[in-house]
Amino acid sequence: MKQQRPAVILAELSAVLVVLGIANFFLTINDPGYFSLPFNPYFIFALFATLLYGKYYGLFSLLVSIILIVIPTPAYKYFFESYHITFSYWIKLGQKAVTPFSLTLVGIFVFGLIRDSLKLDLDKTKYILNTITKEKAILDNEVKALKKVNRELEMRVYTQEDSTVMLYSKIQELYSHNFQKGLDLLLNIAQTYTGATVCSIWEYNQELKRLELRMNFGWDMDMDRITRIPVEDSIEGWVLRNNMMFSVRMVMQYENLARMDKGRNILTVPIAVGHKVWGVFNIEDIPFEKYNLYTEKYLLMIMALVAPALDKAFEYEAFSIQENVNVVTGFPPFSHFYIILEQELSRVKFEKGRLSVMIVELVNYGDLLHELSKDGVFALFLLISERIKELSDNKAMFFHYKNDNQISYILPNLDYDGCSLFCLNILEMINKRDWELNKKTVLPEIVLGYTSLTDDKQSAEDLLAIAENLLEMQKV
Amino acid sequence: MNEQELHFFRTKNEGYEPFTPAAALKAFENDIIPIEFFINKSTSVKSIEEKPYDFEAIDRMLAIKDIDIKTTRFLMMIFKIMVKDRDSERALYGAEAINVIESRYNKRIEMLKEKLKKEGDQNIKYELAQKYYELALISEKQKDIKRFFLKTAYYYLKDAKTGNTLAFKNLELLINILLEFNFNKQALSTIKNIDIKHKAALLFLLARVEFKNKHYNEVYKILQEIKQCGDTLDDEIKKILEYWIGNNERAD
Repeated sequence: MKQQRPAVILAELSAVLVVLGIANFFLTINDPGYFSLPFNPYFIFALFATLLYGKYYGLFSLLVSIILIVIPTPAYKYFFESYHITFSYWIKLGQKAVTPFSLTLVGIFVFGLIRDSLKLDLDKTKYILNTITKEKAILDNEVKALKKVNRELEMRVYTQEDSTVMLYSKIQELYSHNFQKGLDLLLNIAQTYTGATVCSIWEYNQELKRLELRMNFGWDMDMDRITRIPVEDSIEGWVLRNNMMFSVRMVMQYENLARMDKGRNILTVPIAVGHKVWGVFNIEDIPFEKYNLYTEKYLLMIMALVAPALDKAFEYEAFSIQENVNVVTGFPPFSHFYIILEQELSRVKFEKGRLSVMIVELVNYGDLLHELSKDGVFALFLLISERIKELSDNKAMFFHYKNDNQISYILPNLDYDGCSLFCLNILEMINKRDWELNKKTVLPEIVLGYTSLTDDKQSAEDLLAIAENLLEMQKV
Repeated sequence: MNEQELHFFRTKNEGYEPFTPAAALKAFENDIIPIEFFINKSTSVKSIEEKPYDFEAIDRMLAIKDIDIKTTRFLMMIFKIMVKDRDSERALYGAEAINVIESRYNKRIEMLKEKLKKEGDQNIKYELAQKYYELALISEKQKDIKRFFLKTAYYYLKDAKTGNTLAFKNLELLINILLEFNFNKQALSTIKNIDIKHKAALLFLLARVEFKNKHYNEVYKILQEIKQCGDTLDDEIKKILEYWIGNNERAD
């Protein structure tokens, strides 16, 4: 509500009082101030003004009323009726007015107090309302802003999964000089950016002229899968040999590809490491909407982007293995053993095949070290390993284990019973033979820890923990 | 961005510049900076998947109740990685976040079930099927649970179906459920039982199913039919048509 200006209020109050005065003059000229009436309009109006506008306006009304009572009537009488006005006229008027005037003054004070207190409450409420309104306005703005922010964030998160920024940061992660991790990331990137639901990475084995499964995404463990693919007569082999991309549309155009197609490939691209084709990346299943030119181009772009990082990681890993290969035994270090074991496990699980791991520990390593030196002990290990290799029909893969007095083997196609028997054969062979090194007879005392892949033990960590445990138990 | 906002960015270097979104919000409340600054600060976030995690941004995303399924799946993927974190606090946060998303779905499902009891509206069954299907998608890694949700979604759809007709949206849902189950042949027979001639959307759905069944020649034929049926096609379908058919005819 618009607040009235004090001057306007004063003018309004004065106008009403003047009207009252005129009425008083014309209606009861001999009773200035309406003192003969049971109520006094002037004083009641003053109380009314107090209630409406406050005590100061009440006092003002009272003052104007007194002026209107005291001056106009005697002045008229004096000037127009030649009436002689003496001081006693005002004394008489004063005597009449003293009681209502005093009551009105008290009334103005009391009503003024009540009004002030009500006004204070009202002002407080007004202030609270104002604050609430202001806060609400701020809150409304905030809500609007938050809605904008949330919409933007949601959109950002929605598009984040396959955003270029994300691709960039994932490519940066590839420069970790860890080839295995690099391939893992490649699988993750390609799967994320192409929308593939089933995909795999295959490594080319130059010696055996075949592609071997390195890792996969989305393979169903319940389904029978092949983990080795010949280079000839397969789409994967065709991609590897020709260093070209395969897209399933090509099956409809080229008869040779149609013949090779076994329903495994939708998009297959070569993975280049260095100047050679290292293997292939294969998409086996992808939503129909995602199978388009854009995805094809994106996949090729991803391969081009990851190639330098993979190249560096491969070089680094090859160098690091070469550096760490024992010069006497020629066996790779434990780190390489772990990587190979993980690879073999992932492949064997899908083949539903068998695999065993064995750790051989030389118990009298300290004595032999004193007798033969470190290189001599390694030479003894080599000798033992050659015999073990013969026993395994050249199938065992040899590595150094965590300590210098330990070596480990990966034995493919051997279950737990077979492995137990194989261990007995090794112990028999070692105990029966005379071991000679630099024309000196040596007596190796060994303990064996072994384990095999089962339904409940599937990870490399689990298998090694069991084998190590068995080893420790024999030492007690 | 309008002129006023642009003007703000040109002049914002004068005076106070809050560093964090929270400080920007406080400054805005006190009339020190305009709201654009807060929006700018709040949306200048790094990728939600990037480590170390920006929990403020994740919290804000998690607080939005009606996130679409694609974003939900992406968030679930992040939380499932987070659960395996070596830091127990982060792992716990991940688990809590998964719980929040799942219980949000469960609450919605419970609400729909109650509504179904009261109103008996068949459309609620479709909604329930949709929710169960989405729950199955976010339980991707837990195969048994996923199958259970898919089965429930399928039963709700079957239950809601009156006669032989299904609205396109619900037919698409049914096909999606069957494809998630890897029942590719059933999906094919379901769609082939419907009159789909000269209906681009349905033909496209059929192409999807044929693709899943690895019948690429059929996909080619269906896409040619879509091209000829003259319906208004969206850009995505047009791109796919161009990719498969192009301007040239196939050399059979």
